[in-house]
Amino acid sequence: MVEVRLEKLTKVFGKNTVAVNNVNLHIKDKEFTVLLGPSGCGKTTTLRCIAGLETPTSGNIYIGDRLVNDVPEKDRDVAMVFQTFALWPHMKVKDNITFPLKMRKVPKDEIQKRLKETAELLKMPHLLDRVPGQLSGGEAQRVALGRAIIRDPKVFLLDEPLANLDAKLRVHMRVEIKKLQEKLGVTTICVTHDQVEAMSMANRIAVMHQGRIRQVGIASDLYDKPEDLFVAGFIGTPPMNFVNCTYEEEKKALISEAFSLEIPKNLGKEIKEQATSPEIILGVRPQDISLHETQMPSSISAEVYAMEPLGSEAIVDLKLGDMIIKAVAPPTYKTRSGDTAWILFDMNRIHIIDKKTEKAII
Amino acid sequence: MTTAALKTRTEIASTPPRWIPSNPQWATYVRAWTFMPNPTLLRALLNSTIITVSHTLLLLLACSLTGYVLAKYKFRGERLIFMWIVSQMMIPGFTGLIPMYLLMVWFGWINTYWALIIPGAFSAYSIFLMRQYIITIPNEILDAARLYGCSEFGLFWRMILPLSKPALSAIGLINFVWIWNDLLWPMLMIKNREWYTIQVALNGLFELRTSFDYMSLVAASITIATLPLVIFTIVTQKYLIKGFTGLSYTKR
Repeated sequence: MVEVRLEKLTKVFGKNTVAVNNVNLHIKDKEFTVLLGPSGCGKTTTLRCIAGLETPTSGNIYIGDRLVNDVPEKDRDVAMVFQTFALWPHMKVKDNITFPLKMRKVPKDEIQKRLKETAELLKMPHLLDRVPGQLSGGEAQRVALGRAIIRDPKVFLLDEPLANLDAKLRVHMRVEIKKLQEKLGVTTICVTHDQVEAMSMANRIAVMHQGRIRQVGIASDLYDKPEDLFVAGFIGTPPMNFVNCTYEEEKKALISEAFSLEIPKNLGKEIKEQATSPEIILGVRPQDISLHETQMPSSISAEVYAMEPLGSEAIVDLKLGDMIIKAVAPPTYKTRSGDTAWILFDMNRIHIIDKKTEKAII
Repeated sequence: MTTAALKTRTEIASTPPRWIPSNPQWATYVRAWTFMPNPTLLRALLNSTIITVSHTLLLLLACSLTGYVLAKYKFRGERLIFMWIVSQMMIPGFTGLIPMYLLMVWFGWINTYWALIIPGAFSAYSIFLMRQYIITIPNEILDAARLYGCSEFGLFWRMILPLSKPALSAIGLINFVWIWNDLLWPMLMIKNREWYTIQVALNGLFELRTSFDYMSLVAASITIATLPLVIFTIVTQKYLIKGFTGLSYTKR
């Protein structure tokens, strides 16, 4: 059982650059957890604190039951794959992979046995006598993974493991990494800014922003039930549309500059109970907007601003007053700039966010 | 110089000069070894080799260790130390000659090899170059080594030194040539003729100017004295070009 627990973890650089701010996170045994967030949100610093490469300013880190705050990095029994792979360029691949074992003074025959097993597991026996400069991106990454797994670490830390690969290889490797983690059953923490990568690999995702964890959950929870404005906007492609509205209780409607939208009674009740003011933000995913050529009950008139055909779907940019919102339409949808489209929001999937607290109400 | 050693006395002095000797005197190169009585050419070469090699090795160790610490560790006063080292580069070498001489007297190092090996081994310029090179080695490479069990000195020995080969070769060669060719400092320090370096010994050849084939023997001795530099350059050539063209780490 190797769980990783972060308790009130804080890391401040210099006098007032707060990289990680009071982070609490519990990563279960054998779980693949992804720390997801934009650049500079503190996810890599969190990972480096767990590895022991940074010293936390305050808070505790537990690996298993052991408090590791003061344990040197080499004694934490964690392995890390770096964004640039960080292979040692002057050593052959086999020396790179066996280095962790040599440092632990493992007997030579045992090293050879484990090198063979690791090379076969990662399908790279033919690469062992090369130097890192002779490897392609994908091969270098396999070597970095090999170096990480050879000593059976308790925890894997992956820092943007796919960022340096080309798009096609990235899709392939994310499956490979996931399968490898399932096979080895090692608790894994991965850092990425790519939500597709996070959603496809992780058992659970922790979304970080400005040093704080905003929400932890499985991919569908983050997509369907975002807990705040940041998560709602960060998860999903194209991103969620946000419209500033005022809730008018008498009309049971959301009033914006461009439209008035009647909402079901139960929604109105929730807004009344939970919102700190009538000022709210309506969030609608582009996938939850349907487009019609003729007026429908409760439909809103919008002007087509631009169209982006992507093959599998088309993204339509619509002008609502001064705002531009995006809608996803089937690939067969035909329209031109300047046309009028009648749009309908899927009322079961809209999100209501308190403008003041930025917390989701629905 | 190489061909002058092969010419006869009249050929050396001929006008216009003859580039290729009509009758090469190969025996001059053999005689050059015994021409100098004290120290012999061989002894002077040996003295210079001991001093130059040990000076260069010590210098490489000192400048790479100091450069590594200044490049990769953050500690109080680190910047101040670096600025102090850089400021040493602005002081002309000759202004330090007398203070350094007095220091050597105080240490009791006059007429010892220590005076030739130790002082120059802590060169500000070399430390500066090494620091600038090591700073370009990615931290992730070192972090990975730390994580997988390397000690701090192990990082220096197993990672920094092998990765700094181009810089070490360039700095090593510059200093090797400089120390090998240095005349003034060894002349001031060494009184015992037996311990003369090659340059001081060659300087002493003037005393033998009355000998019959003086000119060609001097040319042969100088040619022999230059050979170690040529060999050293050929050996380190692979890294030299890289070291001189751009002192920065590149992923191989």
